[in-house]
Amino acid sequence: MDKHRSSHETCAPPEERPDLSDVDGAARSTTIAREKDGGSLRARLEESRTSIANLEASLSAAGAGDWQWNLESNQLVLGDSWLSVFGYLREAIGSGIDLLNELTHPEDRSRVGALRTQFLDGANDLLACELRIRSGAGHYLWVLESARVVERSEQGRPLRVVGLHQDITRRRETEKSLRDTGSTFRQLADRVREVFWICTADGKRTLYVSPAYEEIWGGSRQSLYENSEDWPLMVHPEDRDRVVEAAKSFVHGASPSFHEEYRIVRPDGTIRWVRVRGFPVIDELGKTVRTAGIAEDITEARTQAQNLCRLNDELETRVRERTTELERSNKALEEFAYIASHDLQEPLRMVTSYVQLLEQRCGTRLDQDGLDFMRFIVDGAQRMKALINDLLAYSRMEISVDQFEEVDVQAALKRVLGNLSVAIEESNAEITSDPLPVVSGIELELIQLLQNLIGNAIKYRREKPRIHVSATHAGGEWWFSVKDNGIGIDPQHFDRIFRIFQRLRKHGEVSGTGIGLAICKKIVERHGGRIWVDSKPDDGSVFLFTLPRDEIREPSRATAAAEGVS
Amino acid sequence: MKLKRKLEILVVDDNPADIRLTQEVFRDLQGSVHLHVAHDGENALEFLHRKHPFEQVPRPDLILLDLNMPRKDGREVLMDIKKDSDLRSIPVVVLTTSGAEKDVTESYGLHANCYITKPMNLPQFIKVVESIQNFWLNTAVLPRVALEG
Repeated sequence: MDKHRSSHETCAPPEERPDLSDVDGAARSTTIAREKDGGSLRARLEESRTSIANLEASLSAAGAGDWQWNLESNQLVLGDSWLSVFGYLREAIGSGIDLLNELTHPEDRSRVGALRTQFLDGANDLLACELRIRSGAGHYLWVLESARVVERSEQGRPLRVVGLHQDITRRRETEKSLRDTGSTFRQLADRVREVFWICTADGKRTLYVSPAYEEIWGGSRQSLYENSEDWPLMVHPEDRDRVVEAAKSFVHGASPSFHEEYRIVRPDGTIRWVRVRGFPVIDELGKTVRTAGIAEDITEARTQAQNLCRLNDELETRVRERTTELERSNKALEEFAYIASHDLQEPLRMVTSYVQLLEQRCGTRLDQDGLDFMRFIVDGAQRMKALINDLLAYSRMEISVDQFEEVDVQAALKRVLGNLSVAIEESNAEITSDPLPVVSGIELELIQLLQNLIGNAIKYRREKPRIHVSATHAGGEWWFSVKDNGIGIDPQHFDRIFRIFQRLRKHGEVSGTGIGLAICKKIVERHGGRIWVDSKPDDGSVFLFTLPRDEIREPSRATAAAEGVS
Repeated sequence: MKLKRKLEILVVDDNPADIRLTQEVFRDLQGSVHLHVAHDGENALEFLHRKHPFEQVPRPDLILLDLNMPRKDGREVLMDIKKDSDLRSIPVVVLTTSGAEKDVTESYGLHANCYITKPMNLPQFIKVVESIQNFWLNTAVLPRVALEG
């Protein structure tokens, strides 16, 4: 019997359940009338009580409490589950119809009161709203209030209402927390300079892109939402294939993420570098439901990196240039040291040796040999003097810190001709020139340059020297030339004549120390130019040198009168 | 082996005063020496190849070579001589003012037979010339081709 009863309880069809099961709206208002039928009323009553007790326990365990409104008697009947959930003792709580309103949070009263009135007035069959109910402990619990009219008068006025208060405090807190988090992220996305983006899993539709997009891409977000698949059109043509390929690979799952740096062409035609990263958003089942990521403008960083590279390159070039310059300068110094320590000793040795020979051979009496030896001594001493002078001139240039100034080459030539007047007169030289420009340089050095070149042209003559100085400009440089009709130079010696102490002529043929052209070369190089020679033996020589033409300065003199000295 | 004839020496130097000094010292030593002079490197090679005006000159037994000369310097002459299968057997004594390590190394690298730095005063120079004369005239054995040349 027990077994049967228990089975009957759990398997009871809905229509045989007590009226309180009406909270889910499955029962009808006719149930109470039906109770009068059946066998043993007492047994049925007992059974009902047990069922109600079980139900109350279940509701309480689920955080829900039931109540009834008897509108005829103006009474609120609170179920055991209600008292349990809200922590009240039956004896301590009233049963007036206003109780529900009193327990409602003051902020919710007017809103919920209006809904309840509407409900009782018959506007709605069901009442469902969220509100806060004060617990026995004095704090408020969020509840979902559901109620239904279960009995009406013949005029349709509600007589009895059953209701349930489901504790939803936990859910409300979770929702609020989610709302807060969402809001935080949204505000972050809306405000940072980086672009946040969310797309469909196939990448074809943009679901969200943050406002920074408009700043960087220069186009509206709306157009991106509307024409999501057109995004590659804004990628720089040179980068497009690569980026589209990477995006495909990413949405097809071939690559786990997207990370590309590329150029975009904005609607105004300007180009920006962007770095775009993307990753899949995966649900609990591991399925990609979205793609999302960040994009940022890296133009400045790119430019800075490029500038840095360029500066680095420039620096390296300058270091290389400086190194070459130093090497050249060191080489010259080495040559100088070699000369100073050895070649200078040769004439000195002559002087010493011949003086000793003179003493040994002739004593106090000087014959023809004695006279010869004396001549050699004098000659040696003179050469020594010339060498020392020239070497001093050469080394002085090494340490000179003279500032560049405007030098009128025409005036410089005039001074050179004055300095060389004795040699010019002796050789009957004829020296002419084209109009010569004003250049930037060191005047004394340019005078020495011209003087050495013209002096050589007179020195290495065949016949009456005819020397012509001219200047033209080409490619930002002045090209100067000093042309003579002298003995000329074999092309195989063109290089060595500019090296220090290189003479082509034997002792006695022509006097010279072999430093003059080395000095010329040094002067021209210090002025940022080059010097070279063009010549054939017995056909004269043309010495050419260049000087930078930083400021465009044409010769102001209209008179191209040749400067003649003879 | 004592030489039956005079030792033929080619002095290659661009400085006439130096040449004269060498000539004077050899003359004072009164050795069995015959001095020939070339005033620069090209001159020296013309002499060795008996080109005009040196058609009649003997093949030298010894060359005294200065290093720093115009046109063709001593290093180039040395290189040309030692590259030439006919000339390379002639001993070359580098006789120069330079005592630079670089020049010494370079000269021996070019197969110079001896390197001597010209002394700064006459008595020492006389000693050097004397020792050159004694060594090559009395001590060293010269190649047969040189003796017969």
